Amino acid sequence: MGYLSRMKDDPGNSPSLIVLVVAGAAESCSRLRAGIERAGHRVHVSPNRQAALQELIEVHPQLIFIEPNATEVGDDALIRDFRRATKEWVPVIVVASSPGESLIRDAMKAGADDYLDWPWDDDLVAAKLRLFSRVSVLQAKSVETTLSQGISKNNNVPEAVITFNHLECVEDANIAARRMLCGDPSSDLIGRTTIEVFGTNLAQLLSKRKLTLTSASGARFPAQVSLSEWVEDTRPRYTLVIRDLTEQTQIDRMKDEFLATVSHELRTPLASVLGALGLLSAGATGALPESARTLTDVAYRNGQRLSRLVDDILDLTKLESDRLVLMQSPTKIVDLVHEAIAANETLALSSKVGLRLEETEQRASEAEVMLDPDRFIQVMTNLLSNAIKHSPSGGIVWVAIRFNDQRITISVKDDGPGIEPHFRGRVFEKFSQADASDRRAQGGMGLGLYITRMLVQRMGGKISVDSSPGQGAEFVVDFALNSEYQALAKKRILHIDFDLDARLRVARWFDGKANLISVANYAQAKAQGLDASALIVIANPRAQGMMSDFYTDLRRLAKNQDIFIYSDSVEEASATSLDFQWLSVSDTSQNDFIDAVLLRARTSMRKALA
Amino acid sequence: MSELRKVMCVEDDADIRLILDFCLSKVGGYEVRCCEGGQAALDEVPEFRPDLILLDVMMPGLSGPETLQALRLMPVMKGVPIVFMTAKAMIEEVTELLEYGATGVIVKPFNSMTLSNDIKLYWEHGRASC
Repeated sequence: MGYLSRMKDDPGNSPSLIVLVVAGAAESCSRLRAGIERAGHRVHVSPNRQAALQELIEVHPQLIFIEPNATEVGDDALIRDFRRATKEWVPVIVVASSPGESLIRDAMKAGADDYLDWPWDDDLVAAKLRLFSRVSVLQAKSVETTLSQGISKNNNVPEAVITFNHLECVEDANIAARRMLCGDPSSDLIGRTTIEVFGTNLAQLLSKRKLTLTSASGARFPAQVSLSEWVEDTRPRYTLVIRDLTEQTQIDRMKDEFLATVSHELRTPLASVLGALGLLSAGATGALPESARTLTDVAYRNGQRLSRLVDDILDLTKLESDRLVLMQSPTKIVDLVHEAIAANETLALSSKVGLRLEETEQRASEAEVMLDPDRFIQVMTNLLSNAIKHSPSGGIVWVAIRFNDQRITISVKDDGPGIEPHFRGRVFEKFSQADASDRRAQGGMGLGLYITRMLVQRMGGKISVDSSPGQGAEFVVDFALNSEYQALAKKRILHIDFDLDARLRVARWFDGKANLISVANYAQAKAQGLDASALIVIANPRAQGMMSDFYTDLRRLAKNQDIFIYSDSVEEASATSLDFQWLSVSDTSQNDFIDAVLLRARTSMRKALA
Repeated sequence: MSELRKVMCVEDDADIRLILDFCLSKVGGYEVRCCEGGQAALDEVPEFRPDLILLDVMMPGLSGPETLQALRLMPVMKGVPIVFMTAKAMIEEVTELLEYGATGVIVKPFNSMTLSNDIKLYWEHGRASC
């Protein structure tokens, strides 16, 4: 920068230059020095090659004269070192201080820009100086133009723009960046590393979409960083655009608070309206005439609708600001589907739409999914009411539960008009309605499916829709089964009982609840080739030969697993003394029996999973 | 005390007080006392001796939680469940309210026909632990 400012002081013909003379012969050196000074320029003389490089850095010469020295080698290397040491181009002129062309030729080959041939005089020196002075002015102008263009471009960007080189050092920073990170737009960030500027390296900086940065004053602020990577001189450059999100975050918070307040303020009068109408239409004030009841029903129904919309807005606010807290726990999902269907039967009835559940595999009733039960009911209610809403009078909404070892899907299918292909991609978007007339006909703000999708995704599930016009629509939610349940489903319960009736009875009890293998004796059990780690054994020692041998065999089969013994012919003590579990058949019901086994299976599963 | 007889409602909104009074006395058959604020409730509890208190959360003056804390210090409140009423339906807020020591939370808008039965369930559940 010093170079530029000196140059632009005088854009005239030949401003004064700072000239470095690298001396060869003492006599010609003083002649040269006198000639340069006479021409109005300032001279520094380096007595030898070693000093020259140091002078170059300290003096910032704009022109260098080198006298080749026949006795001192290394002029080629010196010129190359000069080139390397200066960022800007500094012209080098070789000066012949005695006759002899070869020295000059060598220097020119090594990268010198010009030469003064022997014999030279002051006029020639002055002419060279004039030329290079003008060249310097032009060079400075061109550098200034390039730089000023670059600076002004980025300086007009309101966001902070910083460019790092491949070593993660700042190469360029606009005014906004300097203000943001130094507090002072005139301060310099050039050369500082990403660690110094952001306290972290580039990779970590870009791993998060939103992050908290620290300003020069130590204040922390939310920011968003985006990167563009480019290459100059085969080296990568990284230009970061940093947006200070303080204001946006504040606005978001104000919006959230406003919506929360609005919904609260709406609910309070709604509580009065719905309370009063509920009492009236339920006949708490005495039976109403038919016409009055119809009217209170209308008012009550619409009050509830308004209340649901308020709920939706509040949910939306929470979901979008990521403040919705889910109470996730392993939940039997099929029970919840039943509950949701029951909760929507009134709506279906009043819309004259049938609500049916397809026959479900009994096994599914035990299937567990990690989810928030209340929010899952909300999802199902949204899907069911949506399906009912779009079904024609007399139509049927089918609910189906399908599952395998890993996943469970619940589908809700209506026989309404279906979804136009062009709209299908947008059904889960905010404020989406198939068309404006739909909005009037069916009500709602188009938030239901959006909230449904957000909730399903937050609970770790997926939602999709399948539909063609005229064919109805089928919404499918898909959840991974709880890993504990998955492990349990893989775990097998080996049941050994000599009595076929007993085997059939126990098999019937466990049907749909566990993977039960029933065999008559130990030999058959062994023949199954069961993996001992996935095994729980229930056995009746009756008619299995020597009891102690049978017990030893069982323990060998299931080394560290739970073994349950039930019998009406042996003593409880015989089993418990061997660390077996005792299941009393006579005084426990079938359900207790199953629960005891499944509970143990589950407990051992938890241990194994932990 | 073996049955829920006297219910105190603390609610600043006059219309909701009216609805509550109706729900609980006409539908539920309880003896109902409505107070328009926390301080009034604190003043009237020793004389009215409620079996259960239904307490609004957001009120001018003493808030619901503040009122609850003051009520809990009164010897006559031993064994008397307090149920919050709030328009904030979100689950985290409900959890927070229960942490104040309420037996339950009823969310507005409430079902006026089932309210009397709902609070009875809270009373059965909560009176042992208060």
